[in-house]
Amino acid sequence: MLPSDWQEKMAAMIRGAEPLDASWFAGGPTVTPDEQIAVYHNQYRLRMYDALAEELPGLSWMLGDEAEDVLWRYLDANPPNTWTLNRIAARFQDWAVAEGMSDEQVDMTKLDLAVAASFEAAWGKPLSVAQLMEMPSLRLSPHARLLRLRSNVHLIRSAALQKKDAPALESIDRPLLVFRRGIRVRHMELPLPQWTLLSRIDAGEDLGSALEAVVAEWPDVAPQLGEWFKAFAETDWVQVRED
Amino acid sequence: MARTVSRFAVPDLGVGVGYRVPHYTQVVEERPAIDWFELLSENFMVEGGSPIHHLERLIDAYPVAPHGVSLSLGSEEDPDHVARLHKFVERVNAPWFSDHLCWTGTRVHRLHDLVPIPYTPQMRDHIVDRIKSIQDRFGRLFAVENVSAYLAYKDSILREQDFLSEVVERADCGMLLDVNNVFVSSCNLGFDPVKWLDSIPMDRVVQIHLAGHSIYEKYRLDTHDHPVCDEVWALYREAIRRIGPVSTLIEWDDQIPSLARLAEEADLARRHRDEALNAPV
Repeated sequence: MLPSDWQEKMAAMIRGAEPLDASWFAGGPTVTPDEQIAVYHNQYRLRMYDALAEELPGLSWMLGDEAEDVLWRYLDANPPNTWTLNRIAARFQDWAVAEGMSDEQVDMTKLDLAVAASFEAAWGKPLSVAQLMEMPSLRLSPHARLLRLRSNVHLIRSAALQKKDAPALESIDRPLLVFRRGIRVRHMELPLPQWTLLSRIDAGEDLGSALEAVVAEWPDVAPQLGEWFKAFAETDWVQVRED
Repeated sequence: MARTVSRFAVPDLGVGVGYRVPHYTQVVEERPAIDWFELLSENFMVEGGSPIHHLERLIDAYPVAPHGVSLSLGSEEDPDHVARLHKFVERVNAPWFSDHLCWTGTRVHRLHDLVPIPYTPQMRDHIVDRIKSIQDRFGRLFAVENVSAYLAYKDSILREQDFLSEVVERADCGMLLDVNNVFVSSCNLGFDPVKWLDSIPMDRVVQIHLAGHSIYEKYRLDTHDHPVCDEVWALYREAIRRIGPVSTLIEWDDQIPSLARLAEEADLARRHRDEALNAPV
């Protein structure tokens, strides 16, 4: 007789969190009850690992032979809890930090997650010059993500995924924007003043005070601000905040 | 044997294939001679980007039907999933939408696999309630699909085909008959697949799935990574002889071949379908 919590117990068996107990199963002409539940356990292991590695292609490449061990430790600690496999890596960055993974590995995780989020994010709402003249409250478009990397993992990731020779790892401050143009996800290194301005805008700061703060820190950029906003609008990086 | 006439006013879309990532651009640009495409619902329940871009271009060009994998009829409803599915189904405005007779996890832990359910009256009532609820809210025909099974529960007191028949009758919904799944389960669990077909209400079948599977030492696995095998073609002809012309779909989700190869498999399905339809009943 199946207990009332049979699905929780069976899910734990399939995940490998509890030993396989075949007493609920009838067996078949060629397989024993133990082998029946083992089919689902083995399929779970293969499917979840493949899905996670697909969400974290840069990190998987960087980890090399260690990837299987690391990704499985994450999955055992963070079993999937939503209906979509697209969110299977959602807790990886926090987990990686807690596990003491290197700065480069954490940065690569952030980049993989930003690319995955940008890929299926909502379209931006184009910003017009007339809107800009009214100094509206702005935010980043849904597909745009700002990252402050501590190394050149973005260059390593691009080379690795294109099966080219990857550059040597370099520890250096890299203000980066991940965004989508059409349906293709791209990333671009930004000058720190520009990155800071976008960061302040995205944090909810009003446009006037964000501009003031950036010009106060980098007076030389004042003449370039008009061109920057023209570029922001053309590239669909920012939109009017509606909330 | 009399051929059935569907009780639902749904169109026969012909023979289609699954709309899969490697073919997104080629399909919408080259418009191959494939009758229709099935959309894996969860792939398109996102806000934008490539999936939505290609979805919009596809539905302008071809008939489609959504097919999901995460409804988990055998467990509790996930309101977030159902809300997104509803939006997606409205968007594509297809004659029916479908998912599986299974559970895929609990509210806490998702297995992302189509795990069979115990065939008991209690589970039947639960599934009937869930199908009625979703069909009512969506205002659209739902079709439930039989899964490939690698296990059977000691607690099951109904046969799968009887359980499924009772579910579709009581919920007044459609059926997506996966012929490959019937065959794979028949090998793994030991039953006669033709007798299985004879036990289900054919007038509720609105769509058929065909696929390839893998043969291991002790069991067969529904891998969707091979051409359809001869035994499944034979069972498909048996199904078509009983049902009549019904929308058919080739599932090929791993080791995905070229679009041209998929179109060949669809052509082959069309020939088997025509042969069965022209056979004396």
